[in-house]
Amino acid sequence: MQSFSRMLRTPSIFNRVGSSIYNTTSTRSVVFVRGQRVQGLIRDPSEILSSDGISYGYGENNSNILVLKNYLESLNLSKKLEFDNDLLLQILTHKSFAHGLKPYNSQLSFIGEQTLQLIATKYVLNQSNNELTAIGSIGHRLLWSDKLLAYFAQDKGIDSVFFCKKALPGGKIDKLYKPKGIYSTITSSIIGAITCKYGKSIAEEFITTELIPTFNK
Amino acid sequence: MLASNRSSIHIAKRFISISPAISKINTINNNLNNNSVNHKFKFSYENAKNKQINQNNLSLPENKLDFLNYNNNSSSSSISLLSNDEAKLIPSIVALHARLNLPKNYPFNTLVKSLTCPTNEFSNLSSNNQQLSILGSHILSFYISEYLMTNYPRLPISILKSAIDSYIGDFSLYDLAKNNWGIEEDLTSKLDKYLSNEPEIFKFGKLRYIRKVTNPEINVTKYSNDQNSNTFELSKAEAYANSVRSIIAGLYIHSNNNDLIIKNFINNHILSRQIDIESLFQFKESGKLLSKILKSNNLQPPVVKLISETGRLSSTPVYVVGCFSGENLLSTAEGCSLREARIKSFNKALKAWYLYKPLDTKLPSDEGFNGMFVDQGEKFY
Amino acid sequence: MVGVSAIQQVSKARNGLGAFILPCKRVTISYCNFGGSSAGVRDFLRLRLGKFAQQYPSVEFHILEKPGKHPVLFGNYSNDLTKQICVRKWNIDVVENKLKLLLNASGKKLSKPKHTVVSQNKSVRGIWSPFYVQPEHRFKI
Repeated sequence: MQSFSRMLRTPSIFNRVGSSIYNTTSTRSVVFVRGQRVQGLIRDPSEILSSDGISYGYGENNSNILVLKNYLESLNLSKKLEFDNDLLLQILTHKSFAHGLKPYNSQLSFIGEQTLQLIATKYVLNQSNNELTAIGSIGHRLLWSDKLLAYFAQDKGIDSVFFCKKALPGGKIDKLYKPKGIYSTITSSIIGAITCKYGKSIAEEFITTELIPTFNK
Repeated sequence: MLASNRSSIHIAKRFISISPAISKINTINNNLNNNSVNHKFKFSYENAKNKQINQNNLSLPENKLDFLNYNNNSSSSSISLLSNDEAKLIPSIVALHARLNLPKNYPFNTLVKSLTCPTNEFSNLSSNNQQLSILGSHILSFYISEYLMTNYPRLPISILKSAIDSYIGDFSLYDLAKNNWGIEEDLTSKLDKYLSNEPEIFKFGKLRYIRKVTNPEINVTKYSNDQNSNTFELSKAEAYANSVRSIIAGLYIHSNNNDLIIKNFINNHILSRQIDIESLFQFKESGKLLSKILKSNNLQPPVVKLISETGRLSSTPVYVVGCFSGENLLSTAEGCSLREARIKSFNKALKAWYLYKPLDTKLPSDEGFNGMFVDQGEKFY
Repeated sequence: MVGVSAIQQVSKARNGLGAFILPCKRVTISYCNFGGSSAGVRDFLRLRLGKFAQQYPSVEFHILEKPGKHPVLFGNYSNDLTKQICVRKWNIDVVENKLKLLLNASGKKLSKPKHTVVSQNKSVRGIWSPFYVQPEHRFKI
């Protein structure tokens, strides 16, 4: 059975009695749906704004973004990485979450992907002493593949909290199901955020000292 | 024959590392031979970046990420391209070098290599521009997207990609290579070359590729004596674009990875070209989208008000309307009917939002870069 | 994305904004080794061509012997256009000037400009809109 929560906005009809007809505020009762979808009915916002049972936001004591924050601050790059909580939350929000109502990471992951592709190519060139032999090979293309990017996020434990909508048949929820195409945006948008805030050189440092060594494992 | 012998050796190597993937790799190779078009990407610059090379000629290390041990083992057997001294004798190559104002340490034979697309004669990776063009397209794509992202941070991804494509897509680079740089393609047959008494090496001064024939003439059957030749077929625009990408990749390699030289070159030759970002947009139901944007920014929904008109019964009525959100005037527009003016005002308001341009921007690859505006993602309904 | 779709475009060249590349890419000088009408061109080839060609490294110079024909200068331009100038009986200075004329041309046909300003940009002012008129001066019905 579906559970309905009935909420009444603004005072109802009774208030209208006695007041002039022009001064009335419009009244409407709104019904929110929880659980399974019902066509034509509005879903409970608190349910839309949660993913895997974690509700959207920084969480209590910033628990939602703490793992990512600690990870980025623990990095040993030539500049210390410090990001606003808003940006960290944006990194951890995918476009599919809550119909794109909340700031999401597509722009960050786009520039991150571009940076990663260039620097990975540069890395391949450097590794093979400026010879082109490995360019365009499967190994080269692997460096920015969804598989490895999602693996990186999993390896560092950053993907424990990620706001996205997983399209499982029948609206099922499975915490273990992590689609690579979606989860890879965590890593690529971290790179994007570094590029956008600290520039290309720091992003290059992050990729060559942090990302690619993890891939090699 | 040689190639098949070698490939059998390499498959054995692959067996050790990734045995379940064997069938997959075979299908990839088959796909390469069938020259199936990659439908995964929409834009030509994306296709150029993600092109697969034929790995049959490479000997791969067991660990695919061990890039030092990638070897090209057929370099000795096939014809190698010209040496730098030979390339210096080709007038069109020397002229191209001067036209592009390339640095002195840029070798002439890299230009020759850039103009050589894979053919049966130059199927080896070390003698054609396949890998150079992949490298070049990565470089181009980064610098163009960084420029657009910093200057127009609110562009939707689809428009952003389209804008990148209009800078570095096949057709733009074709126009650049042909109509600006003056690269010529080699259209003459072998017989013509023999009859014209042209020196043998002059053929390298032109863009050489196998032309893709999509629609053979009526009553003409397309005949190719080699199955492999299909894989090398390129459209005219793609061949030209690949040569531009390769020339830029060559600049990157020979400038010792100096970003500044590359950036200047791209600024001078590609970003200096004109695109009209405003006309890239095409809206459907723009009012709906505008109210969504206003709602997510905690602004009042759009209201269109008539500001003035020339008279409804006049021969050509003109209405001037303004699109308001509360007290704020978002845009004004004029139209021949109220409906047209209304929709135009929505479109203008949307463009004013999407084409927001911060002043005095610095690119992430610039010295002294100090952060940039990051968009929170486009709104949709 | 829903609501916004992209129209594809090709960027337009603005030669000179950034890098300037000479539109002339090749000059072919045809001459006869014997005929009197080629005397000036022969002088030019012998005395001045070496220095002259060095000034224009971005242009290919092709020399073509056409016995029994008048000397002609051909210019090939990067937008597939060509120009020819016949220099029969002209002396060395005229040949040099004609060659400069070819090198400095864009390859297009000469025409009288109809507009004082030629621009690829949209007009800064945009299409006239009645909104620009001050409200007190607007036409009242």
